[in-house]
Amino acid sequence: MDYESRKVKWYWMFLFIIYCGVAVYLLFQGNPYLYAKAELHAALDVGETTRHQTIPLHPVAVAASASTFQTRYSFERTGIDPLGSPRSKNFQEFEHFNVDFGIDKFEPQNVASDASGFYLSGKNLWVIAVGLDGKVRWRYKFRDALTDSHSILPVLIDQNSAYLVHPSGQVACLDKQSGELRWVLSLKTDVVSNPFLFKGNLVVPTKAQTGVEMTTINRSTGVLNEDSPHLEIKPGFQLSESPSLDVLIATVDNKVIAVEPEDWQVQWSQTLTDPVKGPAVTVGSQIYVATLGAKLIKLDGSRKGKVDWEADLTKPPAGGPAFIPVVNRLTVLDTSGSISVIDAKSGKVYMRFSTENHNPLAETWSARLKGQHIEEFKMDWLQKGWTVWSPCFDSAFCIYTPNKAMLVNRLAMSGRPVALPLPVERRLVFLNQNKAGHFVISNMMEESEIKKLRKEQSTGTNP
Amino acid sequence: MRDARRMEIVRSNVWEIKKSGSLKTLGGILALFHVALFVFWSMQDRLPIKLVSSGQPMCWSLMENCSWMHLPVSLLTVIFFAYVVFMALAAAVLILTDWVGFGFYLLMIGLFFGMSLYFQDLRLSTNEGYFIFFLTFAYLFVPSKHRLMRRLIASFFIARGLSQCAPDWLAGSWYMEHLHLPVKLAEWLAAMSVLIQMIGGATLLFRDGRYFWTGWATLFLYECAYLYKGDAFSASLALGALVYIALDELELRKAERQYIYQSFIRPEPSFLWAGILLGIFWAAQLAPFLSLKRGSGLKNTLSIWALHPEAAHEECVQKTWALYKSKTEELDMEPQLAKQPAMYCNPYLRYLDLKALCQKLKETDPEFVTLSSVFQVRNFREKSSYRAFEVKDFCDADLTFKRLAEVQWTTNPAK
Repeated sequence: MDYESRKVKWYWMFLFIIYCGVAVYLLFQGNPYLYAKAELHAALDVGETTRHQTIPLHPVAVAASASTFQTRYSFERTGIDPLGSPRSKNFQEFEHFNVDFGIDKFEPQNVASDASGFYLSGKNLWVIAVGLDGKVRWRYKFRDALTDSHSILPVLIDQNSAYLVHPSGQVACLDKQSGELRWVLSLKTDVVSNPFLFKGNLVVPTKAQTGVEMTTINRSTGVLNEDSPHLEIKPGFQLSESPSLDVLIATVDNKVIAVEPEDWQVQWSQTLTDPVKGPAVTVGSQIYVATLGAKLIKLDGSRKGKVDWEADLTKPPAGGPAFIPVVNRLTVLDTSGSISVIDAKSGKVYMRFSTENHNPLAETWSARLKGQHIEEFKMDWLQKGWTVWSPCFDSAFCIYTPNKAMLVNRLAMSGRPVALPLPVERRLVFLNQNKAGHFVISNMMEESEIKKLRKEQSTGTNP
Repeated sequence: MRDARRMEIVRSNVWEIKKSGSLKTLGGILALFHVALFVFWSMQDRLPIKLVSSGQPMCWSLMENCSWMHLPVSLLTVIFFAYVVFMALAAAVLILTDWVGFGFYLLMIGLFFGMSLYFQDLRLSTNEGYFIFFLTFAYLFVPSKHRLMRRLIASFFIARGLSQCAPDWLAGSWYMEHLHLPVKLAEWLAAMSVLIQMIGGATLLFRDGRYFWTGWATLFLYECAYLYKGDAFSASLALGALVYIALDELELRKAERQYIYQSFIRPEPSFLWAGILLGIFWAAQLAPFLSLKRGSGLKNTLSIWALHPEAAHEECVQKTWALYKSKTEELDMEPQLAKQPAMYCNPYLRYLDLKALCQKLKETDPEFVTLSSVFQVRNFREKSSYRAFEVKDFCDADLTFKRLAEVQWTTNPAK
C-alpha cells in the first residue's frame, strides 16, 4: 500500500502543469477553429483531393483517338452526311432487329452511335450498348440514384473506349467492345452540362461557386487534371466548334458565347432576344442558331458575334438547323413538322413545306444524291446533288430537292426513328421505336447493295 | 515444484485481495461488469453465437486462419450461459461474503469462459469489452493490485480523452447527433469532454484530497451526464470504476491512520509486472500519434491493444462492381454484421462481406462472373486516403486477405 505523504511535491505539480498544457495543446491542434467562426467539420472536408483517385490507381493506358461520334455528325453540328459521296435515293429496309434491353422500363433519351453500334442512356441507371444486329453487347449500371430532373448523360465514344457520366459526377470508362471497366473516377460534384471529348481529354463541366469548372480528365489514364480551367458561363450550355475561328461556340439560354479553348476565356458574348434551341451550327466563321422565338439567326464570328440577319420561322424550331453545302442553304424543321429552307448568306426564306413528321426525331440532315437522280429530278448539276433528308410521315424518312422541295423519295421503315441515322459505309442504320414501344434497329440499304447481297447469299447457298 | 509455485502465485494474489476491502469489492464490481457485458451481448441476439453461426469468422490480429480456435455452436451456447452464471456467483461471493478465495476462482473460471467467447470474433471487440477483460485479467494475475488498478483506471480515462483529441470527435458530431446542439456549442462540449477526462483522470493519481476529490467529482458528474444522454453501458462501467477508486482512497486514508495494525506477513509485491502491463497499454494508446506505417507489423500489433476511437476516426469509400457475362453493375456495399463506427472501415470486414457476396451471387446467378472492388480509408490525421485494396477479381478462390496487398487491379491473378 502507498503510505507516502499526501502533499503534492513541487516536481509532480510542475509535471502536472506541463501535462495540462499538453492536453490543451492537443485540443487546439485537433480543433484549431475552436475560437474561430469556422466550423471544424467543414474544414476537414476541404482539401481531400484523394477522393479523386482513379480506380484502379494505375489503369492500363489506352490510346485516346478522336471522338467517333458527334451530335449532328460533326463538332460543327452541321448535320452533313459524313460519307460525302453520292447516295442512291432508293433505300430499302434490308433487315431489322428487335432490341431486347433485358431491363424493365428502359427509356433511352440519349443516343450515341458509331460503327460499333448504339450507346443508349436516359432516365435510368443503366447504360446499354447495342450492336448493329440488335443484340445487347453490354450493360452498365450506376449505383447512385437519379433525381427526377436528371438523366445519365450522353455516352461519349472514341476508337477504343466509351465514357459514361452520371450527373452526380461519377465517370466510368469502359472498353467499347467488351464493356470491361477501364477506369472509374468520382468527381464528387454535380455535372452541369454535357461532357465532351477534346484533345485527348474528357472534359466534364462541373458545378462551381460561380460559372463552371471545366474538369479535365486524361482519357488514357483516367487521371484528373487538378488545375482544371474555370469558365464564366451559365450551366446547361451546349457546345460547337468553329475550326476556322479556333474557338468553341457555346449556347445557353439567349446567349451565344465564343470561348478560346486554350485558356478557356470568353472571347465574346452575344445576347439574343430569345432562348437558343440546341447547339449552334458553324460554317467557316459564320454561326447559325435557331431560337425559340421562331427565328434563325446568323452571327458573324469574325466580328464578335455581330448579328448579320434574322429569318422568321412559322413555328419554333424542333431541332437545330442543318447546313446544305454548295447550295449554301439551311434547313430547319419546326414544331409543326414544316421545313424552312433559308439562304445561308442573305437569310432569305426560299420556301416552306410540310413533312408531316410524326416521328420522335425532329431534325434534318443533308446528303448527296447520285448523278442519275440529279438528272431524273432536274436538279442543278452545280449543286452536286445535295439534298434535304428528313424524317417524315409515320415511320419514314424523305428526301427533298433543295430548290423546289420536290419529294425525291419516301422510305418506309420498321418503327419511328428516334435519332439521326448512323451511316455505316453505304448503309444507314436507324434506331427506331415501333408502335408497341419496342426498339428496333433498322438497316436501310441501297437497292443495288441489296441485290448484290442477295446474289452473294444465293450463290453462297447454291454453289 | 512447479505446481507449488503456481499455487504460491495464486495464494499471493488472493492474499493481496483479502487484505483490502476495496479490492474485494472491485472483484465484485468487475464480475458485475461481466454480467452487464452478457446482457449487452444477449440484447444483440447473443452476439458471439450469432457471429460464429454466420460462418464468416473475423480473425483477431490478422490471423489468416482462425478456424482452429472456433468452438462448435452448441458448446459455445453452454459457455455463453456458464459465463454469466460464474460471474453472477463471483459478484455475489465477493460483495456479500468473505470467501475471497472461492470468489477469486469463480472470477477466474468466468474470465476463461468470457475470453473464449470474446476471442471468437474480432467484431466482438469493443472498448467496454477491452476495459472489462483487461482489468479483470490484471486484477486476477498481476501483483501490486492496489497501485495497478488505480493507475489502470486513470489510464483508461486519460486514454479515452486522448483518443478524443482527434478532429472527428472535436467536430462535435456526437453532441449534435445526441443533443441536437448548435455546432459551436457542440465543439466546445467535445473540447470540455477531452479536458475533463484527461485532466480529471490524471488527478485520480494524486493523494492530495483537494485535487483527487475535485477530479473524481468532475468525472463522476460527467459520467452521470453521459449515462443520462449517452451510452449507458460505457458510462456504467466508468461509474463502477470511480466507485472503486473512491473506496480505495478512503481505505488508504484509513490504513494510514491505522498504520501500526497492518499485516506485514508477506512483503509488498513488486510493481515490475504492473509496470510492464501499463507500458504495453500506453504504447498502444500512443501508437496513432506516432507515424507508423499502415499495415506494418508493429502498428497491427499495437492496434489490437489500443482503444477504439470514441467517434469514427476514419471515413471510407468502397466501390464495388458485380461483373456478369454481359453486364456490369455497381453495388452498394454496407458492412453486414458489425456496424459500430470502429469496425465500419475495417478492410477485413469488407473482405469477408465481399467473399460472402461472391458465394451468394455464384449460387443464385449463373451469369455472374466475379466482383471487382476498391476500398479506401482516410483517417482525419492523414492528408490522403489509403487504398486498402483494389482487386479486379475478388471471387478468385486463391485470393486470401493477406494477398490483397499484392493483388493489384492490373495484375489480377485471374487474368
